[in-house]
Amino acid sequence: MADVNRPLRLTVPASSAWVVLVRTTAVAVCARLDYDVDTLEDVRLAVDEVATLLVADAVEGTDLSCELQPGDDASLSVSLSARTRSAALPPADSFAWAVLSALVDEVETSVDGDRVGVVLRTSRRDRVEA
Amino acid sequence: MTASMAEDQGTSPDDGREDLEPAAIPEPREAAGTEPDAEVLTPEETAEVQARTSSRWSESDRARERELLATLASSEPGSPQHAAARDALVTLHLPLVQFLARRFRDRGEPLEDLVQVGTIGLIKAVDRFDIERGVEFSTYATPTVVGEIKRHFRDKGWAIRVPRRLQELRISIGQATATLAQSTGRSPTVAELATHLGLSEDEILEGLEGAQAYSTASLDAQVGGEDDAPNLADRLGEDDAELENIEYRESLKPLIAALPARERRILVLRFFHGMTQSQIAEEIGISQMHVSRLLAKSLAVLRRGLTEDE
Repeated sequence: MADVNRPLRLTVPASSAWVVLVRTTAVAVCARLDYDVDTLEDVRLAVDEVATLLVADAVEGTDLSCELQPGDDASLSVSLSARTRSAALPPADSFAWAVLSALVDEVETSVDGDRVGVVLRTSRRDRVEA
Repeated sequence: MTASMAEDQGTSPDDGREDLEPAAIPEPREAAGTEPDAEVLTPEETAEVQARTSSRWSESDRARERELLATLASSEPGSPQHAAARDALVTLHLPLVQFLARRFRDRGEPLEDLVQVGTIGLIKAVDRFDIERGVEFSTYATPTVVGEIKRHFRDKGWAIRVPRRLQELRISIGQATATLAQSTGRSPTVAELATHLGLSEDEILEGLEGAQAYSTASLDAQVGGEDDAPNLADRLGEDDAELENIEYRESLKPLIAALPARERRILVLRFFHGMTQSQIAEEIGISQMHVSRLLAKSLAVLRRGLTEDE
């Protein structure tokens, strides 16, 4: 578990073929943080959703960037960004946001020029639910 | 579903169905590295199954079984007496099939499908049973029924061909997830799964990833089965009303409406009721891994639909 709090950066061509690598990497980091399977599978879905959205809108020949930053208390922030043709986020009331906000604790978005970024924040849920 | 089902799926011994000797169906254990339980029924368990199913039998059931087997052996195949005895035997042993099918639940296939394929195994066993051999019918039928159920998993379960090792890993993880969740009241971590199964964390991650390739053909197959469940249908109505209140793009409505009932329900429970995958699994009666897969699949369907729309 050494260096568990160091960020991990991954840059892949912005194409759907590489989404699986980003998703799997995120899941592997969750496992290192000792997330339960429910949380881990939620992160898988959320990263898949964001990465797919970004890749679908990405400027031809550019990259999808992903930074995974573990924080205190086994929290994790996943920043995904890409240069997009629309240079805009999906509408705030869209289904994608409803999905994402159910899957992770926090969703933050940014637009800088044509670079659209989404940050997903989640944490280990030590629930004692029935 | 008893007598008529037996009739629907009834096969005469020479109708061209794949003709495997029942004794050939149970396969040798896989070598080291797989969870022993992956093979499902050890000889001791088989004995237990027989004890548990036949202990519920009254003496009159036993007498009836003997009588039916005798009729079957002595009557002309295809004659009304033969057909009646055959149906009655199948009906009499359906509890055995149900018992065996339950051994395989929480592995991502609907229980009723397992009962159906198990029943095919039972019919085969009835048609092949030789009263002269002097073995109990249930002893003879168990490997045939289990073999048929296992074949169903092997042949129908996977959307793409996944190595046997990964298939078994997925099954082991599914079982371990359920076991650990039951003892701790929460979903297990990868490390806990690894310890429980005596595998490395990497192997668990590989199994979880591989599970995404497992398909239950649910998008096409599930709807029929659920029509028989009035309770579920009632609750679905409520969820649909709830969906009406949620703001989302108009174009999404028909897409969600087009999802099979179960997928729609899972989607609503996860995203609008905030239930966890494990809780949904419990509520719907399928495994957490199955919930995960169905969610991923539903989201992909919705996404694809929206993209085509634009």
